[in-house]
Amino acid sequence: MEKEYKKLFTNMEDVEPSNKLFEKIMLRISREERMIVTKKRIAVFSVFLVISSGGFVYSFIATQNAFVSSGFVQFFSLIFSDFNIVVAYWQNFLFTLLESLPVFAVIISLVMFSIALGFLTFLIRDVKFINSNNIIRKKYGF
Amino acid sequence: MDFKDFFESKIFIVFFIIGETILLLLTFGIGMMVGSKKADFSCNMDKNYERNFGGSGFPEDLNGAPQGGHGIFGQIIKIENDAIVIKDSDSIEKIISTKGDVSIKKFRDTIKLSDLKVDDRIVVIGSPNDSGEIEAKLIRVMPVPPTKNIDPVNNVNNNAN
Repeated sequence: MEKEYKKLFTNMEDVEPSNKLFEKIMLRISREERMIVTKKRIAVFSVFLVISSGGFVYSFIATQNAFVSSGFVQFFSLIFSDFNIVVAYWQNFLFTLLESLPVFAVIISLVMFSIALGFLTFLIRDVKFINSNNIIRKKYGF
Repeated sequence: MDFKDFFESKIFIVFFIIGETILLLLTFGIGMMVGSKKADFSCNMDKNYERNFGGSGFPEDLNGAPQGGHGIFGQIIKIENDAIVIKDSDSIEKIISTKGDVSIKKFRDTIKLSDLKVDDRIVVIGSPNDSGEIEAKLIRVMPVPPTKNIDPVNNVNNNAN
């Protein structure tokens, strides 16, 4: 009986693993590593997105107030109430608008908006990566 | 050539950089021009402050904050001959000269200078003169904001009169 087993195993061909197995394992490991890093990035970007969005909302409200307190809104409203006179003295009107424009507040708002938009872009990219990875995993099983 | 290729082409990048530079220089130029006008008006206000308002010269806390001389929005605190003294949101007093051709508007009506009252909130468009005053071209009386001056006990708007 034992001899027959030995005979059987000596005559059996060795099962060779697939040539792509190593590649697949390495690919899976690197993908898992990227997933871990991406999940951490998503957590960090989410926090930064919330902070920068809050900053943007705050700066936007401050800018709105600056437009009112500088008189820009009141000057601008003259276009609707006294259009003909505004056109007649358009140079003075233009200078008035430029002089009362709260430039600093607008710059701060735009910077905060750009930062929030940047974090949102990074977040969407990472979420897309995780989603596509999950689809591949479900479809091909690795 | 599709849009993606066009936006990634070197020609587009070169034109984009040139356009951005022109825009930057234009903005810088406008800033310089507006800053220079504000500085001129502030300088004239400073020189004529004693003559216009009395006291001992331009208030120190206004130093470094140039004032615009083409328009003002604020409350009338004094009307004297052809001049109106206005206090703006920063509590800075400015003199409005109404000697030239001025349109004074309230709602849809054109009114006279004598119809203006102390405490009226007005918007003025004009041009600065060498005396540190604003020569008005348009004065519009603004309606009183509904939230202000409302008696909370009787819920009566005191500005209605």
